[in-house]
Amino acid sequence: MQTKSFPNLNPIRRIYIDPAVEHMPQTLEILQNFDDVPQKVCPTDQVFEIINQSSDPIQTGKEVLLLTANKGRFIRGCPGTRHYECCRYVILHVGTYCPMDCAYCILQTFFHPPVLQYFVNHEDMLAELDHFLETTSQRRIGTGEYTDSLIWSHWTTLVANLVQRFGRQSQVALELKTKTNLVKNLENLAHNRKTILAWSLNTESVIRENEVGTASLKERLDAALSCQQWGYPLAFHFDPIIIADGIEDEYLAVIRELFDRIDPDNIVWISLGSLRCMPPLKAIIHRRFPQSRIMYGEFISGLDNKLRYFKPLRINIYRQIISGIRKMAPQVPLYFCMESGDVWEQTMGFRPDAKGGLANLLDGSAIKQCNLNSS
Amino acid sequence: MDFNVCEVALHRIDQEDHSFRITTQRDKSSLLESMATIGLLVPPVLWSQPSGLTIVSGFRRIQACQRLGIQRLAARLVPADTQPLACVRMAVIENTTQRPLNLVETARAVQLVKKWIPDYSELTAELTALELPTSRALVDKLERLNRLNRDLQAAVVDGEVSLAVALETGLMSPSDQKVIWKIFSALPMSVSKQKEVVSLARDIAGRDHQTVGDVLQSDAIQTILHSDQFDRNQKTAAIRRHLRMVRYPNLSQAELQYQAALAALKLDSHMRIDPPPGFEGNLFTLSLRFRNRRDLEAAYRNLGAALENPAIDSLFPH
Repeated sequence: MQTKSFPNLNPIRRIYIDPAVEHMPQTLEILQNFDDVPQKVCPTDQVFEIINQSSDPIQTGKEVLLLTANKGRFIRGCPGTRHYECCRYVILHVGTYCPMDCAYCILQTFFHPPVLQYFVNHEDMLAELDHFLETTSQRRIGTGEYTDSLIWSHWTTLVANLVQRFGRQSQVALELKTKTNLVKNLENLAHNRKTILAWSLNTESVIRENEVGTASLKERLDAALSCQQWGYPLAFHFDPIIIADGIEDEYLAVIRELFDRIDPDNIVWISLGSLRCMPPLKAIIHRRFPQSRIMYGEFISGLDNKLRYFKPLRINIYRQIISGIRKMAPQVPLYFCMESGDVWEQTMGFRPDAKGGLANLLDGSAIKQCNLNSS
Repeated sequence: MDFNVCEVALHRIDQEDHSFRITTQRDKSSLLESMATIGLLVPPVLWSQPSGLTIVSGFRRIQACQRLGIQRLAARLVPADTQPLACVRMAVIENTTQRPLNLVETARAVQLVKKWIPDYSELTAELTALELPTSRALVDKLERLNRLNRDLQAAVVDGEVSLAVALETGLMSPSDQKVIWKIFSALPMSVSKQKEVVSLARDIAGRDHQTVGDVLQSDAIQTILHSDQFDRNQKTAAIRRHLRMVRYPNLSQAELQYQAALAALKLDSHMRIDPPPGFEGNLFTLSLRFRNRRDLEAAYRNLGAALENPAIDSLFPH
């Protein structure tokens, strides 16, 4: 187990334990990390009530840890939208929310209330996962949609167990998405290249102003380099891309820094996505991150009712970033997260449909980089 | 609660102490008339304190007594050893049983209760018993409303400004508030337009490292405000248009270009072609109004001519 101290993370001030999971092994495992944190056995609805009644539920939800069972499905489809090109990602739902604090994080309004939850019924999860791996035709699954994938490696053996479980099969690649550098526990695991380590990348100024408690760009790339040296395939996500005066040069600097350290041939994919959010998030960002300037861009209401940058502005910055990446890594698979076909056409030169669809493109890259069964 | 109903001298009542005041009503004319005609029907509630008698409820009745020259009046006296929270309950109930409270009165009532019950779960129970709002979000907003200056509170009560706009304006510096209210008092506008102006000005200020006051005192806005050619509605429209162009320069430019291309097509006034909202999707909308076959045939010819016009390609830049 890694050292308990990770100064960037919000401190956990209280732990609530669902009575139904009080004696489960995973509960006892994670509690070992929190000897000095007050703990209380408490029904989940009461915990939600406590958080809802606090003066700042979004912040409070980051400072408590709720240990409970996932009573629904562990494996589910990503809630994409039919209005934009979707990659049909599959989510392994291990927990919710995050102790880091990103201004633009949709989880602030996605959960009611937002609360850091860790699902400890791993026997159920592994049974569902076994069945999935035996029967699915899907190629990609990840834990980083509703939470950061690697924060749990700081406190539990979950991530190590998943890496090793995926290492014993060749149907599906596991993607772990993070903004941390918590990779030490990944060394010496039998991953068999079936786990992709993925980092969200942004400019230093965006990270500094909007991604509180996350690893710096250098720390992320250092961690990625370590994983590359340990044989893991890598992925990167420029998401959310922020549009502001002069920021294009900052993104190009990030791209240079990335390829100064990372081998393009070991990258499974790089995604691009500009800032988008449901309208209520704007007021939350103003309130919680008064120094942040990300909501002062030229937003329109998208086809999915999310705020998005005016399309010509998106196309302009995408072209510059794509050009920067292509100069240094012509073969790296690039894709957009939730963009329209005409944006694809005007920036990439094709629509995903013309190549069998976005999911098919990404599956192909996963098969190749992760040595998955091709049939 | 035990009351001692008795007659008290007006001068013993501390009229400067507004600790329990909930009402925002100031107009006493109807009450004055009523009391002058039939006297004081419901005695005020007063709390015996060493310094005098504190008003728990009946502020307006006591003021009316003073104006009518009544020196002694009947009152319900609350014993000196009564807990303050009990007096708060009495003040709230006395008001809520008379009329629905407006937002500022509700804010005052909630604040009074909160002063004595800091714990939120206990507060919720008390607010529920008093039939006051319990939602944490609303309670927080009411607390912020309670901290606004009296002018802003009065504007909320009078419906001149929404709670959201008042709260947002209340977060700004006094000088910014002054500039905003100068514009709003010169140009009465609907609450939604006020909200739009404040929101646009705040976003521009944040983006350009200015104050809201700087944005609203720009030369362009001042020129509009002092124009002799515009009436008040036109000034309001011009200010909104200007702010929107500054806030969304690229989108505004695209809209202007679209309008220019559309104008070049010389469509009948009964016909219009609208772009996708925000130019985001690919679906344009053609709308047409006509009364009879002849109108429809004319529209058909007009649309056919538009399709032959090279300018139509400018509607579809991509």
